[in-house]
Parts: sequence; structure tokens; C-alpha cells
Amino acid sequence: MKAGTGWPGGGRSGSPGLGRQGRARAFAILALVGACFAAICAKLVAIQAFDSASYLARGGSEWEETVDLPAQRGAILDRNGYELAISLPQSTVYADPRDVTDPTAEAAALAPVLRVGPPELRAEMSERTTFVYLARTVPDAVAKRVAALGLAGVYLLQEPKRFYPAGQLASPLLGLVGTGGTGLSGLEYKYDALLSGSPGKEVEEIDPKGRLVPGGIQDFQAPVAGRDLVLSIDERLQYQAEQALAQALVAADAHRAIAVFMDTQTGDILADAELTMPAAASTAPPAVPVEIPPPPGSNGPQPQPVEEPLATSFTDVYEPGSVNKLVTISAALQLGLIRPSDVFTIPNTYDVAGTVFHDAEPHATEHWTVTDILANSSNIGTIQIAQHLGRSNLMDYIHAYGLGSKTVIDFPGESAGLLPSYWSGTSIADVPIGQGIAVTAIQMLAAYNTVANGGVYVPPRLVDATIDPDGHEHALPMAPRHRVVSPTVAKEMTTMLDEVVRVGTGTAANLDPYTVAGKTGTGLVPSPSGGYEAGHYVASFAGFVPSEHPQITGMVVVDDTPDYGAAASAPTFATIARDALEDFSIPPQPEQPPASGVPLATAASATGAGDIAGAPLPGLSVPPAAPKTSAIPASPPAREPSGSKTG
Amino acid sequence: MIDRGDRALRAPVAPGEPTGRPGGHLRLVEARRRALRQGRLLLFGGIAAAAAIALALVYLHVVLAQRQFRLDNLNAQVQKDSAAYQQLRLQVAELGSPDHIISTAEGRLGMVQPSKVVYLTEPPGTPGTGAPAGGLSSAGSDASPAHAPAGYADWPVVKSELAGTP
Repeated sequence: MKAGTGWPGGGRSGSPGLGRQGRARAFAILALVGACFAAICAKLVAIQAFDSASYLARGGSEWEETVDLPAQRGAILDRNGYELAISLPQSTVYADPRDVTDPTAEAAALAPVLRVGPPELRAEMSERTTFVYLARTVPDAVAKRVAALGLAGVYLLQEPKRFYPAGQLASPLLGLVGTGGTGLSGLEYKYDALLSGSPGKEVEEIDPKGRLVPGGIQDFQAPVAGRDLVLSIDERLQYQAEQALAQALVAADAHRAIAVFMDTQTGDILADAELTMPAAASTAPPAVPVEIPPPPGSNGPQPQPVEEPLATSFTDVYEPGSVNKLVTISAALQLGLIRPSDVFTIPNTYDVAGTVFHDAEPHATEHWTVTDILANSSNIGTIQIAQHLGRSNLMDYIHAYGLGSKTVIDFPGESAGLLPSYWSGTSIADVPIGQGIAVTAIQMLAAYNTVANGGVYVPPRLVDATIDPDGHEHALPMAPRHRVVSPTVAKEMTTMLDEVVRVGTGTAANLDPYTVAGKTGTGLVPSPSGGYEAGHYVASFAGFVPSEHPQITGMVVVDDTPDYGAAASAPTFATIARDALEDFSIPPQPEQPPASGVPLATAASATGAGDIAGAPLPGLSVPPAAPKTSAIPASPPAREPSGSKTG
Repeated sequence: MIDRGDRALRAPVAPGEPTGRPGGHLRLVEARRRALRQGRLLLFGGIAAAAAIALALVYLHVVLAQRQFRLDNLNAQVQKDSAAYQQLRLQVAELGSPDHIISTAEGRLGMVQPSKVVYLTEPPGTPGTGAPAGGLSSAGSDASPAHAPAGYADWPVVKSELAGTP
């Protein structure tokens, strides 16, 4: 370059053509450019070094897509591995209204497939949003038909749906799962964290058209499937229990009924049937198909019992009535306050703190042993024993038998029962005969199971194990047991309970050639306006079989029936117990002599002062009332047995 | 740039002819030209290497895309098979449910529930028997024990029961 060219005013060497002003201008421009460059660099450093994370996140939202990977919800199995609840992915039909070209035509095409009215569909597809559900978890056939239509803006996605292969069997126990796959009630709710597992996610790189960029996955977390739950329930026995209970419910003209059976040794609940009669306008399907003849004088079909919405054996309480006499008498025996052979004078009526108590049926003054008192379910005899026992001891044993506190199962909504909040003058008469307290069916079942187990309380169990996604089974630990009464007292009580079924109020529970030990109970239905409903009873039977070596303990409660426990519940106990013995291949046991020092009831002494003795099962004979060998002479003669009533 | 004047400086030497000075068999190569050749080689080599790397990257990307495609297919297949397995599991459970078995037995096969239960127990004296005294017992039976094998009082009833079964 030659001097003087290119720059105005140039000509001098060193700064050709640049005057002072020019140099200043050039310097200013240079400084400005430098400043701009420095600012850009500063911003670059700020973006790259300090704010990189936020910009990366902002950019990531443009080219990244996060896909939630739902975990497979665990199944609920019965004790033999049969599925009671299982989840399957099903197609959900949804629409993006922005992509829908002709809502009217598309709604008309979809309506017959989805069985939804065209106006509803058209309204959904015309909304100003990007996502609307049209039909959730539809069958595969419907999903295929929707896909075949090829409608613009109508898409399918997969969602899990809960199926119950055995229908409604044990549904109050299993509970419900919401559309989102979350447990809402029952075991589905209680074990939701175990069943639902951990969802995974996949962060993918997508192109501007939303297509997956090969090899562009940013992050992948595999979902962890939920664990399977192994219940103690036996599906077959559960079905049989529900069938028997449905027939009993109709036969007893009752409002609802519960039947709970457990493994005596382990406390495993084998069946828990809970049925109710449907309301007039109810559309609930029948619980189990049973042949029930139409009511007399009616042309319409007999309404079929339906499943309870909740597990009432845990959540609902009732006054147990005479079934509670087990607690009173065993406590007095354990404390040595009475002996089984002690004879009590039982008048027709008995005054306690100004209140007159009586047995269910009037009778002459009797002289009954403790066995007779239990076999006849005498209220007055039990009150006399309770007066020996006293309030403190009685309450101690009520607690020891598990009444007044929740079981270790801690079922959702489980009740602890109701114990007297204050002790009046008549409480020592009310509570021992099962009035003024309220229990759940599970609590009373566990109390009888205590005697069946030789005096040891075995906490009931509903879940035996879990199975992890790798197929490994993890047994749940057994809850600690505790002794309530001695083996001797348990054996004495067993002999007396045998007599209840052999000649007392529970003959309808007889299961010859098995020996059944049990007790009837009849409580009163409380009235919403206070007091009790006349002629409305809570009829129950609790017992165990074979009494020589108990393996099945059961409890049947029939609520709001005009019948007593012996008539309404004892036959149902026998039916279900017979099925259980057959299912578990439990043979009859060799007959054993009665417990030492326990007198047997006689046909003469078995007046049945409390409950109507129900009819035995069809095909079963009532055994002769001849007493077994007893070390102690039988109680003094009483009146002849009639179509007896006891309390 | 090399100008032709430089070439005139180089004396032609016949092959094998001594040059007349030590090391005369060596000819002078101008350092700048050698560097130029090396630079050219380096340039072409670099271009070739870059092209090779680019092609390798393309190939790698293609392989990656193929593998990803295959992986997606396999994942889809796993999901499909898993869903099919669960579907079959559900079917098995439904077919094995008591409700289905009983409705099939009674509705399609003509089976009926037994009207009574007959208990078979071993005769007394059999080691390990759990039977009560009296041996076999048939609930509700009033059958005569006549013609019954020893210890089988209810044999006629049991026999008729067994005869009625397929």
C-alpha cells in the first residue's frame, strides 16, 4: 500500500491519511468494538459458566421429552397362588381437539364404537384444549375398531386397569383401585405402596417433528414392578362361605351377614364373607349365584345378596350378646373363683342395682353347674359368676382377649370396638352377657380362637407373604402371641362349649362325626332413636372344630334378623365348617374324654334358656343327648328340653 | 514459487557416474520444495483422514440408528409379549375361578351338588386311624349294617354313593 491512499487526509508516514481527529475516531470505534466484544464475551461466560444449567433446561424442554413409565401393579393372590386381582394395560381413547378436523363427523363415527352419545363426543372434541378423554381403559376389540377408523386427532394410550378374575369374591377385603391405579380402599389401599412399585421414566431426544432421535436417550430409569400380595384367604372356601352366607341371609330375613373363618394354629383368615341385601333401587350384581326360591306370595324374583362395600368384619361393631359369656366364665375359671362343677341357683329373674334381669325364656328356679349355665346360655347364671369376678378382673380379661383394641392387621377403617366409658351399677350384669360393649367380628373370632389354641391368643393374619418382581417370596413375620388362660382352663372351656353344641343351644352347628365346640349369641339391634329395635337381633355363632384338635375357628354374624343366633347362624357355621374340613382334608379326630372336673350337660338340664335350638344341617343327624363319661355327676335334673330358648 | 532459474543450477549427472566430490551420488534437494511436498502430502492426508472420520461417523450413526430401531422393536415386542402374558394369566385365573368352574360343571356338564356328605373313616383298630369309635359314619344314614364288611356299618350307603359316581 502506498502512502496517501486509502485514508482521507493521509500522507504522513506512520499514520497515513489519519489526522488527529481521524485517529480519535478510529480509536473510539476500536474501543466501541472492543467493548461490544468484551460484553459478548462476558455474556458468553455468564451463559456458559454461570447460567448454563438454566439455559440447558430451557433448551432441553424444546428437544427433550420425558416419558413416564408406569410400574406394573402387583397382583393379589389367595393362599394357593390363585389371582384375586391383577392389572393389565388397556387402551384409553383420547383426542387432541386442535387436530380434530370435523368434530361432528368424527363423533358420529366414534359413537357406536364407544357407546357414547354423539353430542357428548362432539362437545368433548370441540373443547379449546389439547387433551380430552373420550373413553378410558376400553377393551382391546374396541381399541382396534377405534384405530381402524383412522380419525384425525383421535389417539390411543395405554393405562393399567384392575381386573378381578373371581368376580366380586372377597371384594370388601380387596378394596378398590382408582382409574389412576391408586388403591382407594381395603387391602388395595393399605398395601398400595407395596403393590404399586416405583414408576420409571425415560428422557428422550426428539426432533422438531417430535420423532425420536436415534441414540438420543438422555436418561432411563426402569420402572420397578409392584410386589404381589399373598393373602391367607382360600379362594375356594371364600366362595363356599359366600354361597352359604347368601342363603342364610335370605333365610333369616336379615339385613346383612358376616362369616369369618380362620386357621386355628396360625391365625390365618381363610374366608371372610360379608354380604348385605341390596337396596330397592340398587343395581349391584349378586355376590355369588345361589338358588334362592322367590318369597312366598311373590311373583318377582328373590333379591340376591350383594357384597358389602366395606369389610364390616373389621369396621363395624355390634353387641355380641351371649357369645361374650366365654370371656366371663373363662376369666372366673382362670382366677380360681369358680369351678366347672360349682352349682348355681338360677331363679327366673335376678335383680342387679334395681334392674331386673332374666333369661330369654321364663323358667323355674334351676340348679345349674357352670357347664349348664353355658350350655343353656343363662344370663342370670353368668351374671352371678361375673359378680364373683368383679369389674377389674372382667375388664382385664376383656382386654386380654383382644376386645377393645384393633387387631394387628390394622385394616383400613378397622374399629377397636367399644368398651363401657363409665361403670354403672348394672354394668357388672350387662357387660358379662355381651351388652353395653361392642366388638368386631374379627375380635370375637380371635377370642374363641384363643380357647381353641389352648389359651394362647393368636393374632389374626390376612397377608401371609409378598412376592417381589424377581419371583422371590418373602413371608411376613408373625405377630407375637400371648397367653390369656391356662391350657387347663382352655380344655375345660372346650368341654363346656362341646356341650353347647351337643345338647345346648348350638345343636344346629353339630357336624357329626366331627365334634364342634361353640357358642350362640343374640344381641339386640340398636335403634337410631335410642334403645333397641324390638324383634330385631344380631344372631351369632362362634366356635371351632374338631374340638379334640382344633384346626378351624369360625364366626358367623347375621345382623338385623328376627331369629336367634342358634337358628340364624349356627347352621351356617356348620355348613362352612364342613366345607373347610373337606377342603383342607381334616379327618374326624378320636373322641376324647371331657376335661377333668367338668360335668356334662344332660338332656334334662339342657333347657335352652337363651336361644332357639336351630335345625341341624340336612343330611346330618343330631347325636343322642346321652352324656359322655364324666368324672363328676351331672347337674341336678331340670325340666325337659323343649323347643328350647336360651339367652 | 520455483522459477526455472533454480533448475539451471543443478548439474546433470549420469547414473553411476562419480560426481567428483565426496558424497557425489547424492543430489541436492531444495529444502523448501521438500517441505512443500510434505505439506501437500500432509494436506491430502489430512483431508483423507477427515473424510474417513466423517464417513466413519456417518457409518457409526447409521449403525446406531439401526441398533436403536432394533432396540425399539425389541422393547415393543417385550411390551407386547408382557401384555399377552398378563392377558393369558387373567384368562387362566378367570377359567379357574370357583364361579366359572361351578357354572361350567352345573350348566354344561350337568353336575349337581351332593345332597349330603358321606364321611369315610378307617375301621377301628387300624393303626394311626383318626376315626371315632364305630368306624365309618354316614351322616343321616339309617341304612342297615346287614351284609356289610366287618367294621363298615354303613357300607350299603357308601356303596350306593360310589355306584352313582362315574
